Amino acid sequence: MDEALDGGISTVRSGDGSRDLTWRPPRWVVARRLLRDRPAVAGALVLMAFALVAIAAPLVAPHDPAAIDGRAILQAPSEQHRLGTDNLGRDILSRLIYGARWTLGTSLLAATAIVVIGVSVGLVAGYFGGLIDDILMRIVDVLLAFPSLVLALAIVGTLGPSLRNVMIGMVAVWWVDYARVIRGLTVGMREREFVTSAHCAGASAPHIIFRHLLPNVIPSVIVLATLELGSLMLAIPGLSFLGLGAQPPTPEWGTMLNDGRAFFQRAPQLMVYPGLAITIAVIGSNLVGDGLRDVLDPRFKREGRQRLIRRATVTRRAARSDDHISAEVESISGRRECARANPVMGGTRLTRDEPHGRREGTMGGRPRLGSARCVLALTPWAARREPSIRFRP
Amino acid sequence: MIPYLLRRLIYLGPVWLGISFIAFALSSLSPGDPARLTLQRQLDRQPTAEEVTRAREDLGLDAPFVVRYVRWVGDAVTGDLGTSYRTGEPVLGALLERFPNTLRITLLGLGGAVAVALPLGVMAAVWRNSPLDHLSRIVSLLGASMPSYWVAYLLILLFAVRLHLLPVAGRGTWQHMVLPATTLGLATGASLMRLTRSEMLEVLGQDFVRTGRAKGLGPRAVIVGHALRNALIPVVTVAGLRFAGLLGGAVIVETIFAWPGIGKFVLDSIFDRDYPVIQGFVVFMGTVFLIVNLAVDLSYGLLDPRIRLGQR
Repeated sequence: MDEALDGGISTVRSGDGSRDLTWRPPRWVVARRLLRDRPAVAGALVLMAFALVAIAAPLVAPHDPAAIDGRAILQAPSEQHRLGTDNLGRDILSRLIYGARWTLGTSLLAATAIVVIGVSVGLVAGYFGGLIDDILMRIVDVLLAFPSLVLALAIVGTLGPSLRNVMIGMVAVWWVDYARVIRGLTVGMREREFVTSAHCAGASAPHIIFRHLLPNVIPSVIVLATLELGSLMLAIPGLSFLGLGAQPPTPEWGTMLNDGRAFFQRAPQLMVYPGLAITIAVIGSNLVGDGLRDVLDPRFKREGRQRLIRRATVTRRAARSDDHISAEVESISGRRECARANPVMGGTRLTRDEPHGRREGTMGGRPRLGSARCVLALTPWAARREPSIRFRP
Repeated sequence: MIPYLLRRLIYLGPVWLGISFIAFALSSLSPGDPARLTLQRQLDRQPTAEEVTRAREDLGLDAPFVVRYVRWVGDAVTGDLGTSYRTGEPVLGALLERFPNTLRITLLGLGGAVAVALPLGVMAAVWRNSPLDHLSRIVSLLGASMPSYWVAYLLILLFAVRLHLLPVAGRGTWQHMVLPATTLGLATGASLMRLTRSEMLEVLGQDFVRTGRAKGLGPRAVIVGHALRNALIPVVTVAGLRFAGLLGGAVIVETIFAWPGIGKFVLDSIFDRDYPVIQGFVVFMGTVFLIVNLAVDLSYGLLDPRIRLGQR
């Protein structure tokens, strides 16, 4: 320790202590963290932009998406047709704009149905247990024994090609993942005090499920649903692309891709733009989903944001205005947390570039637990999430 | 090991029955009457009501659902999945004949994905936050977000149409397999790379890695011998599960590249309302998936000697 620094030595550990699976940061923390997650914000903006375009399609689209123009067939992008025209002379941009309604709408609808069914089954199976649980979970086992696309394809194939049947096929197969995850969470909560006390207070099963269990699984549900939206936006146009979903002349993006296949060597714009639209939309929802997962769901690994600071020793010198603190840090990673700690650390920077050795800095206030966390590049929510952090004065 | 295997195989029984039940129940979803459909194909005209009734009796369709199911399962167990309405060949034979083609591009795609994803994922973890790591993040996001049915055409446009390096579609030479396998493996490679990275990061932070470094092992011994070996288990699990998913996803790729595999065959059957083939496909893929899952579980023991199968 630096001789110049007297005062207590505080050892702060951030170990791999057992995690409280149901602990959630308060809502404002979630919102703030999410807003700081630039990729997630970008993803959310993309999704919102797509949604707005879909809603305002008649106002935004420069042409009628169904207007056939025999004189403007397979035109390259021009002033009049920004993204060119298709084999029937229809404006590709307008079709894409109206297509957003179909592709995003059906994905959203299917995702909603999947969430509702999956969550209901998971809650019921997890809460009641016993025979109901056994029956429901055996069904889940069997449905999970298929690659998801195979069964969806077979269901659509049997019912006959149409967008409605595609949605039925997707929902019929994809709810199982939710059911399993939610059941697992529910089983974990069933024996906990808040459920037991509600039970003792005479609460009915529906009351416990809806008022006590459901709110606790909602963060996981939101995360799963956002990520699911992305896969649905790949799968539903995919089946349309195969000719099983939306039928021409519907401007669904997958159908547009299917329509463009025959002409794509002459007019690549037929294939390029609808696929690009799908890709951007999926990227958007994946970014939002990843961001939400990092914030909301401690069950998932926090990829790229783990705090790998195992141990740091904090020394402090009591002073009236400015407190001098130094920390010996063995290793630092997790850009985000470090960046947040920087302003607090005054002149020194805790950066990943210099992960070892002593860090010193000046900070105001009383450098007790808060400052230790700052030296550790731990924010309060992170410290609370790790019950094993102790501050020993 | 052997008792464990037996127990697993016994457990597979009920699940397989469930699969077969779903496959069979699918037929009752179909809007058309199978007897009428078969007759229409045979006679090439609208059959009379009398003919339909007789055909229903001949085909055993007048029996109750359960009886028909038991009969059907009995046949399925002995390898008889019925005959295709369209081609008249036995369904199982038709599927088995085309399966190796699907397996070929799937294995090639998965192999390529693993071959690229493992080293990149390890490097991204070791050189965390380096430009390579950022690049890998972007690549994996793109790989996971681009629809395969779009990537395929971009690849065709680039490698076949512009550069004339590879054939557009069809089969014959090894060049024909490159684009389908790439399309198929891209998303898997992206997610495996991401997974390898995060698993490696987790393992690299553990005590035994530090011990390895402390006792003077070289970086290669630590990273490959200590860390990667431990990071591999979840990667293998996901790769195995993805493999079965790829077999299902092959429908799209085979259709685009006119690859004569099981997926294209099924899609053609769907448009022809060839229900026995659709049913057979479901049972077949379900069975393959079960076998793959079992193989993945068994491979844990090889990868990690601490996992003693059968001792739980």
